[in-house]
Amino acid sequence: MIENILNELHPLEIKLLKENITSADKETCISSENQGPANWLQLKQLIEITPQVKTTVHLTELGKKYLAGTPEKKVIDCIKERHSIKITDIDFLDAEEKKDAIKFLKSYDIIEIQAGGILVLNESTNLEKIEALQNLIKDADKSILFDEVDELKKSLVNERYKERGKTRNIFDLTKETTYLIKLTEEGKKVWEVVQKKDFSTDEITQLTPEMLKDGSWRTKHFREFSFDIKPRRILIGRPHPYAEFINEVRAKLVSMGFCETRGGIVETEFWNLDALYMPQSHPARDVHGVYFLKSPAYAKTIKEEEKFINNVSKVHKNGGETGSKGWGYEFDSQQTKRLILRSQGTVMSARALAEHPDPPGKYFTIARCFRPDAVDSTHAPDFLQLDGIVVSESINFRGLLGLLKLFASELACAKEVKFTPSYFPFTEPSASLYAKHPTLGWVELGGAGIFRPEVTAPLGVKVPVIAWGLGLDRMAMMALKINDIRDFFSRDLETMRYVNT
Amino acid sequence: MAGITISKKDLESLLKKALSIAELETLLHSVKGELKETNGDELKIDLDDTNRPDLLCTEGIAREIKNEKTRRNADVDTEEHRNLKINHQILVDEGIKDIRPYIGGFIAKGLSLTEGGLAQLIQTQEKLADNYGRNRKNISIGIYNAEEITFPVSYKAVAPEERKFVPLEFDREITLKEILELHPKGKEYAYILKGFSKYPLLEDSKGNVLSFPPIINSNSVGRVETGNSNLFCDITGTNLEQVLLVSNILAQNLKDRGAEIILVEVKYPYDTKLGKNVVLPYDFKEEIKINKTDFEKLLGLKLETAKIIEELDKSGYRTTLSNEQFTIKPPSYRRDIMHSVDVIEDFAIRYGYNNFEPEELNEFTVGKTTLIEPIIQKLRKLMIGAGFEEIVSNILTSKNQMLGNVEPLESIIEIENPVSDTYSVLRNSIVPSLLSVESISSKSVYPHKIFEIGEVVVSDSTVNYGSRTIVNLTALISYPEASFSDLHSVLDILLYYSFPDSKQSGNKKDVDGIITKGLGYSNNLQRTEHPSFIKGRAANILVNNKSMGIIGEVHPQVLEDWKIRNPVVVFELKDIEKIFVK
Repeated sequence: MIENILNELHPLEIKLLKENITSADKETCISSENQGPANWLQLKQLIEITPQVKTTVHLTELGKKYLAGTPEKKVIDCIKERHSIKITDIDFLDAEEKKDAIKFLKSYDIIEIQAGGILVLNESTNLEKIEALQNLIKDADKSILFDEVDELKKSLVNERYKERGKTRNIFDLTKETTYLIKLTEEGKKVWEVVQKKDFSTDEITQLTPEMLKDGSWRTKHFREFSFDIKPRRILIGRPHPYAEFINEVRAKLVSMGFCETRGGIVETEFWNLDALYMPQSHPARDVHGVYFLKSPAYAKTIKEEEKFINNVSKVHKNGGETGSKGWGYEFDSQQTKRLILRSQGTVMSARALAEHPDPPGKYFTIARCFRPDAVDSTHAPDFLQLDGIVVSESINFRGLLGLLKLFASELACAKEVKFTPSYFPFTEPSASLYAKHPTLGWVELGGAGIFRPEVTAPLGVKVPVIAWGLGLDRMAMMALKINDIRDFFSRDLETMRYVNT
Repeated sequence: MAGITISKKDLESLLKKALSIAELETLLHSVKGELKETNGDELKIDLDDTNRPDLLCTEGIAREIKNEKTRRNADVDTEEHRNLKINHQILVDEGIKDIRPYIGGFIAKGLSLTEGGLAQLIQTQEKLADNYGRNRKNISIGIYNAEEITFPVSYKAVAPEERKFVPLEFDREITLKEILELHPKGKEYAYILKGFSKYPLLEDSKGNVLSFPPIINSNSVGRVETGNSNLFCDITGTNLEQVLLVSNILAQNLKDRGAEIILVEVKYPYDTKLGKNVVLPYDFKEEIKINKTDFEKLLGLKLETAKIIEELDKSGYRTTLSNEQFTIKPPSYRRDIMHSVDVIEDFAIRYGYNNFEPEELNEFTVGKTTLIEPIIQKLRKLMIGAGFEEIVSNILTSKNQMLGNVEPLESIIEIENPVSDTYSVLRNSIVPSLLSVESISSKSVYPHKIFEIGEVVVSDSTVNYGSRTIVNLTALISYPEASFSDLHSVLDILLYYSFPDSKQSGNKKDVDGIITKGLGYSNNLQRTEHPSFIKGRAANILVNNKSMGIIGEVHPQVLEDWKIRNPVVVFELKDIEKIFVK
């Protein structure tokens, strides 16, 4: 038993046992550099460690000023000299000090305030406290140990150290921890052996290139290691778990045959709203708010949109050739150029359709979106949305539900899903997708639907298009089984390092 | 989205049956509603569909979830109703044309208005006027005790001080001008009449004032109380069709509560989109033709004609069938039916979304990421391999969070309507994002080596939108001995692996034949001066002789401003798509 322990002793442990502990029974005080090996020995139950905190009392700048007398003392001395004094005649203290001093003296019944603000000493006055404080200040000028002063002084230190604001403290405390170590019964046995044993020559702790070169390791003995000791913590390079989740989502969509698209954060109302059949002035645009750009406020031209703008404006006005009656208003072709921040990932679906109107097509985007909601625990200033479409001759509502179900299980690892009717100005029928979270219950993962003909036709699409938008934060919560997304987005490095998914 | 509060008892009395909360939650899905809160009898409901003003009330929700087979027969607009003689008129005065040109109205008779019914009526009036009517600007509603009114009623424009009456909540006569100045409702809605020299007024043939639309009713006829059985409602506004729709909704609501609706004719001296004489409740005469195959194709179902008609009936549609084609007339209180897809959705909702059998997607296409994605992933792996922790930040920030920025503050894109100053600009560099992490991480174990690959928006007057979204790579180190050369080595190796086919020059092997100095772009730094960096310790990073980023040791003043307590070195590579994608 002891043999094993001896084999595993680290040179620093041996040094501590041999050099620092001089007696088997007496306690030894060690400095902080020996704390490491002391902890290891404690883990092996060879020693017991008792930390001891030594608190020293010093004077602050203010304390030094009071060496010549605290405000209370000055007031008392003054009253003693003149028998009484009017509050307003105290001119040797500043207003704050005066207030405090009188309050203090009054609260200990040392003085009495008579009519006209006249201060007199109380007959039964006990000046012990005032004197004690003055003495304490004198002592503390040379530093004293907190534990060595009497109870009254201890309470005075506490009063003048903790309870006042930083600038009005008289005392300052510094704490120093030292450690007392004591051998256990087992430790005593080990200590006895260590005292006699010679460790110096034949033990190898670290194999070196030299030993390998000259072969000297052959004649030596390898010290055995203990595995009970926790290794040192190291810091490593690490991907952000949210970015990792996003990458997994991206990889899964690509594996399902979807093509990724990407676009700018600054958009026009045309793409973000008008092309999605959200009327320029109508409550239907109130589905969510948008951020407008200060400068420039408008796109220079609508060149890129020229091909579509006529169709879009007609569809808003009277449905164009879609068979729809439209929103019934005159389209404003200046407002359509208004620059805004992308408010929904669906804008990328509109752009993808404009670029690739022919079936078959499957597109997705992971887009940062911005909405003027007050920022709180559930609303981030900007957030990622996963949006996508399927352009296909044969796609229908059942296909949409099938795809949503697949997403819920593949991307969010959901076992149970349900669908509810929903409203988006650009899809009909529209549905919301819910999945069951292990602790939070039904969680809405996103919305979807079949694009209205008023959206697809103006962009030159002649077949049905299903569209969906999923909240990535919600999906991450589902997939990684976390209850509070906020840990994920902590900005404190140490907190981030503990996030373990 | 709109929120309403309704009484559960009231809803149950309209449905003629009691509901459990769980049943209610399920039923609310069919009106795209979500039960947010229950508080005794009070139900707080969020409604999704911003194009369905008819649902912003108990009656509207009850109509939809009742699942009544003969719902269409309960419509306020029926053929026999339409043939009745019209005995009540609203006469519109020419002067109102440029102020608030449209008015609608109807009489509801034989109603016994309960306290709950009255409360709901007032809430509906407010929701329609405030939400749908944009704070009364487009729509406002007045409700009166019809017994006190002598028809015809006239709707005219009068000068602000021409007429006086006692408004609700007041006990003396004041002028219209005084109402706008003194009455709480006047102050709240005065903005609507700003700039007009005359104001709208509604009075009966005896000269009794009904109201001052869109501000306030009179305290006599315009005061409705529990027990009133005959009501007159007026709806004024700026858009005729909205006025008519809201009239229809209100009339339907009162009919659903047992009232008989009496037609009212509005006579305009000027032409409107729908002629000079408009009868309310109004028949929009809109019909939609749909084939059975339209339903089947969109939904992916095989359907019986009878089933379609039955379900559409429950939604209040009037459906006739000829040659496999349905002709469908929406109920009078709905104008959101723009296209056959809207009808098909209503059918799908009645059918039950969860009764559809989801179908697997079988359209084959080849999947691809964007071109920049593999570059981003390669750079991420290299940075992580170099021991860096990845950061993900928001893009919206504020100008005073841009301390130590390496890009000019003037070129930052600002938002016109920020919710708060904290989020009012788009970042144009990632450097401040990483500095902000440092500023709150002084208690995190050192060394700190962090990086972010993310979007920033930079202004660029040469492009159509005036700015571009680009992806930057930014790295930061901070620890007591953090030095320029530490991060320079990282940049060097990163660039080396990012350009596998470029020829490196100037790599000198040392005596043992090993390259110990930089492998990559160590010679491609160009000294620069920048207020965020210590003088003499900042350089532009050149790639193919073009400056594509900056590296430097952050100036102690910047560290002080951020309350960062260790030296910091950063580099930022701008627009990695431009640098690395060929």
